Amino acid sequence: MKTKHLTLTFFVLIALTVALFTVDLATGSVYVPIGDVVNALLGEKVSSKGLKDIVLIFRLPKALTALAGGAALSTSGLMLQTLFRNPLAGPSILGITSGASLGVALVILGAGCGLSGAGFLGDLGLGGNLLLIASSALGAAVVMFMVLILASRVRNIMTVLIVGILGSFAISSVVSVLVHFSRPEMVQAYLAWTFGSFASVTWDQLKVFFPLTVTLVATSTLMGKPLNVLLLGEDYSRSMGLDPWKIQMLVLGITAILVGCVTAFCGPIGFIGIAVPHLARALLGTSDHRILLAANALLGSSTALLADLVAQLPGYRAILPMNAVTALLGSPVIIWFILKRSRKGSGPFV
Amino acid sequence: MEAEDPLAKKRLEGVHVMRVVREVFLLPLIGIFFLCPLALGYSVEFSKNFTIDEIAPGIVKVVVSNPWRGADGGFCYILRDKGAKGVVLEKGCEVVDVPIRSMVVLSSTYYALIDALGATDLLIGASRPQRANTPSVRKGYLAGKIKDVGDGVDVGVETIYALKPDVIFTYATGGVRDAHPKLKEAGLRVVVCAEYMEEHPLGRAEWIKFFALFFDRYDRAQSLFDEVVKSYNRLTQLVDTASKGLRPTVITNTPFAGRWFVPGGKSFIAKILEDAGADFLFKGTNTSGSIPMDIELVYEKGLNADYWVNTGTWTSLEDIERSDPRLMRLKAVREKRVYNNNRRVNNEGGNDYWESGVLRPDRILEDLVSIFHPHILKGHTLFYYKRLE
Repeated sequence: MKTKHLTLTFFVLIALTVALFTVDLATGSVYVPIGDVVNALLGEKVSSKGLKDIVLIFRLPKALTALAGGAALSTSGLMLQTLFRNPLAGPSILGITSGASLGVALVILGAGCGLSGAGFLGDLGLGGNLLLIASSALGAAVVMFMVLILASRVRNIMTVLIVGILGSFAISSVVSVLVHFSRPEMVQAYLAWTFGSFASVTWDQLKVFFPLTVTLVATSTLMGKPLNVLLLGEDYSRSMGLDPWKIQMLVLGITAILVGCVTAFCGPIGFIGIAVPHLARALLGTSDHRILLAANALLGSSTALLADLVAQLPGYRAILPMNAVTALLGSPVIIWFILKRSRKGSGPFV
Repeated sequence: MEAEDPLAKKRLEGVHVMRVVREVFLLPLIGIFFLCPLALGYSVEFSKNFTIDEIAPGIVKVVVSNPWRGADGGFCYILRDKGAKGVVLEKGCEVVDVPIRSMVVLSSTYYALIDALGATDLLIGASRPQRANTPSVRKGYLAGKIKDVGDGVDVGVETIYALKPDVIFTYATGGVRDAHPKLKEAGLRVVVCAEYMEEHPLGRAEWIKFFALFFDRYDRAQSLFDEVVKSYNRLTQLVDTASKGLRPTVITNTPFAGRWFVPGGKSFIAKILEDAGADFLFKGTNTSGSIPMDIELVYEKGLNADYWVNTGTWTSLEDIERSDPRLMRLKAVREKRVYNNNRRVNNEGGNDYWESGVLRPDRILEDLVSIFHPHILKGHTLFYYKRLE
């Protein structure tokens, strides 16, 4: 029975992801007839070159980015929630996103302050700028590492969370000082980056982004057992012959790369990382990571694709900032979770 | 008898004629003499965001409307000549004694207007004057006469207070970060300008009249502005006759993170592109602000555009490639017809396009005409614009 239910759930999730992926390819600000979309994908003749470009160099990389990015964010969210045993843990709350933001702010805004030379002005476009991606990933990794060291010292996961939140405020304040002293056009570029978007990733970048994130997400789905053990506490994991420190390091390492990678290429995309794991748990009715991880990744992809769809405002010329959409979709989920939890009393956290 | 005397008749007629002359011409002439400032003195032709009314001899009421997008009201100033008798108080209007003796300006877009009126001497503080291109402002800053008072978000209220300027010229966006409420609270006289909200290129330049009222140099402003109008109109007529209805298509601005902010069809840039004889591909939108569009939309529409202008901070085609290689497929890029308005950017990042360009839309237009219709202005050297190589 249970296996049947599971199979069905996974089937629905995969179908949902495929459907959203298809709709994302087929819709946008420009009307492309569905026949042209299919022809473009199959390499057949399309009624105009412009429409072919739209599908192949704009929509397809964007949809693939959303697919991989959504899975990456929800996976890191789930793993962090388990690691810290806190339902509100997530990349943006632990300061990891702020770390990445600081890295990017230093590159974009630091240029304005004369840190990287005046010739940088022309490099504002994020695309193709490996420096930005590297600094973002580095920023995320540094913060993750600090959180990790702290975690090993204080041995109280709640303290780690609080310090992470406060640390992220501190990092944000450094960013705001940079913003404050920067030229308006630099600030605008930085703000545009903070809105988040899947649309600016090019094929060249996708060649790095997609394999990296997909491999890490796939690897993480194999970590169900150690994560289940982690959920039961460090003493338990030691009794099981697993070194909790090693698992923690591995989880933090994977999440740092995932979050750093997504944040670098797409900007700080909020709420998917926090909200999707709750949805996944509710949907599957289990906290067993062996199944949860894969379902959560699929759900993350779907959510990201849906957010991208909504942000495009099909039928309108204007588009919405991605983060506004993920927050609108994500916050009700979190609120619902908190209300449900408080009604139940203090049950198991996940 | 009298009637038979031709001379007498003539004399009588003469008196009559005289009376007619007096009544028909002289009285109105006297009237015109007195009413002159009202009827002929002040005029605003292109600007939509300020009006000038002489409400009494030597007392002028200036109303700034539409200071920001979606603004409810405006600002009213009563400018009183030092010699003028009496004060006209109107509710909600601030009284300013003119000519003013000192000022602080919080936008570099006013520099050229002030400079052209020969009033830079009155300038004692400005936002980031080190970025100025206007020579007199640069000189004043280097000589220590013009202090840096910080900019928009970071205005040094204390610095300005210590300078005690007669007037602070600033702009407002309607947000909480606007400088004017705090400066007003400190008892300083703040004048909010709305030149950046003007939709007609000549409407921005006409703000020279607004500034001139504060320096008592209206006539100078009028004659300077008339020259600009003449020059601008000469160019548009030239385009009308010489372009033979040929309108190359053009797109503007640059995408960032998937969004492409496209100026609306009612904007300053849409108007000047139209006047330059180009077909702005997004002229149909009904706003003067910018619209964040999806990159795919602008790409699809602009793929075969002949020209691409106002490309942000880019200085070379390489910048485009680095920013987003997909944009290299645009026809304007392939055929190297990308022009940016950053030829006159100084080392501090100040762009003269936003300084002297405010006063000289005719020069901007001249550049654009020579870009879109090279055969019309043969041998023209670009002033604000630069071709990306």
